[in-house]
Amino acid sequence: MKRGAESWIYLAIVGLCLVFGLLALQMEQWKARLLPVLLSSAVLLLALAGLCKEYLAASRGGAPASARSGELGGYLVSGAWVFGFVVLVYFGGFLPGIIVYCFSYAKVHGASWARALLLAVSVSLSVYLVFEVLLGVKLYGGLGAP
Amino acid sequence: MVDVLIASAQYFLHTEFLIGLVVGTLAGLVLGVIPGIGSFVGLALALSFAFVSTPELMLPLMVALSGAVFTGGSITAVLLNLPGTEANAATLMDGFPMAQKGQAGRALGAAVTASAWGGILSAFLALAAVPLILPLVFSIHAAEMVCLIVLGLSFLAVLSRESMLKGLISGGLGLMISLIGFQANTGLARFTFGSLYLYDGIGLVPMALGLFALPEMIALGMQGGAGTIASQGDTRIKRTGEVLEGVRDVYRHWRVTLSGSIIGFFVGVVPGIGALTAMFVSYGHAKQTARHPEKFGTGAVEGVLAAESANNASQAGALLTSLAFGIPGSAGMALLLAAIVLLGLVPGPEMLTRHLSLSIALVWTLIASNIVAALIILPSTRFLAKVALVPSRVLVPVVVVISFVGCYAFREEFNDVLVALLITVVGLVMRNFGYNRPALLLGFVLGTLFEQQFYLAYAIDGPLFFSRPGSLLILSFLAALYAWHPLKRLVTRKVTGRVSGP
Repeated sequence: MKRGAESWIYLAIVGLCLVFGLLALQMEQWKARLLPVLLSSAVLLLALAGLCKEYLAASRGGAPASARSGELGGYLVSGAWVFGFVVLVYFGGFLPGIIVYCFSYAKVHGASWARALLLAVSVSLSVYLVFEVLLGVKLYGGLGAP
Repeated sequence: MVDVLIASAQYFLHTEFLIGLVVGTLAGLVLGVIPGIGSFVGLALALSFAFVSTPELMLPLMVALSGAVFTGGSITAVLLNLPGTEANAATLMDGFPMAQKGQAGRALGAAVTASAWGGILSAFLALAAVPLILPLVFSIHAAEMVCLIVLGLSFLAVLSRESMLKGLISGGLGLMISLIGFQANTGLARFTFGSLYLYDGIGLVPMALGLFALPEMIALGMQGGAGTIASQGDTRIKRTGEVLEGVRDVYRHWRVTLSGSIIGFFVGVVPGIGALTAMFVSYGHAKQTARHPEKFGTGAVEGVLAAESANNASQAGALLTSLAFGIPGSAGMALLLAAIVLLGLVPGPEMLTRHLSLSIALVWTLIASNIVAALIILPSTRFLAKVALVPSRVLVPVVVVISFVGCYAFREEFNDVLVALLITVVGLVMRNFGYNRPALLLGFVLGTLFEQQFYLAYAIDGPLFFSRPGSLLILSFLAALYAWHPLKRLVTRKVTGRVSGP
């Protein structure tokens, strides 16, 4: 539910600022800790203000909480593709990862075999030519690479 | 000043500069045509090539891209009733009704020519404003710079459409993230948890791509494989003469184009608000001053002219503020500032002092990109409209792949890919819950400069450095900015109370 999620986000920011500020306070030199403490305190106050605003609105029975589970599911599925691509690259390297990702993404989303294959080959070839050949970047080769 | 103008014009003799101009203009047109992509994704993707680039290539590319993107966006607004970028939203209010009446070519001719004129006129205004701004820039010291950075972040946070509170939190978080890593002042590593990777801090490229490009692709991916835009648009233009009729409309209604350009420039100069506001202010002004305001929204060509001249004109104003003071005139300019930092330059006064000729050349670039965009777009409208129909099953993997490869290529460091993935999650949350992503990026980009100037001001003027006259002036602007919304609400409430009172 959105209202709940908004509050959780504010709480996460509050937690982050507390950790940030406490870590900064342990630093030896004042020049290292002054700005982190100032900034984290300011953001902490803002997040607390947001949290109070949320609770006040909720106690007044403000806008009804909207169910967004369907949307969340959509984001998870779409995000899983991106996550999957990074996992593929991590284990197999960029070029095999690009071929598998582009082909499977296009195929699952309705492209024909030929078009999916064309996309996969053209994208990986372009990346190889532009980054490795033209720009001299040594693309990550995966866990097994020397 | 003449010497500087000549030196700036000489940049156009460099092959790199010309390549940047042409590639940026083409990319801007194509990205503008594709709804849901826009300049943010394009500028973020361009950043990933900064590692092999020089200021003479990258900066004109980014300026040309941001100059041409709104021109491209007008095509789908007119032909498909879908604004290519958010700053084309008002164009479709009259552009699409014109297309429905069979005047698509005329609307496009008017939109493209007005865009070009808006960009060109406002760029000349920016050039004329440089000598006026220079004395102001010379008077900026460390204390004023600190206040200016706070002012810039506040402008982005307060004047954006999202909640002010969330905008300020975003800017603050950006500044906090920028503190991760080695601190030059003390030689200490902060918030690194012993990780060598974090000694250099979080990379700017993973940050930009994770905040903008990847979340947009995830959102686009949710629409399914054939997504992007409605695929049943009418992209037909009956005859070429129609387009010329639209070009003539610009001269027939020259007052609308001129006022749109001037409004666009001045709205663009105000930090934090960009083309969207400029476009609606100009559209509203044109409607108020029109002889037949009732025709607006039903296919009045003046509506198209007002909107398109203003959105392009705002770019020159935004560029001027970004280069002169290091505070972005629009959200997109935050990415240009990121590029300036990546390329080893310092955004702010230095750009109008040490690098004045490059800055002026960038204003020339805006003029050139608007001309090139108009020359490309007029004969190729039909083809460009087809680009909008690229399905997301092609677009999403291409952009995702380029984003991650770009992240990696910058430092050849796989951790950057993982960081980009992590920031994508943050970007998605921010996108969905109305947090201000440009403010976070700006805070991150200006964080190091902010800290340097903060300690410099502290060393020179002591802890009360913000009591210098210049700083006080900027802080009074800041106070006015924060007071604006509550005051407006109070006045509105009083007026409403009086009207509905007994």
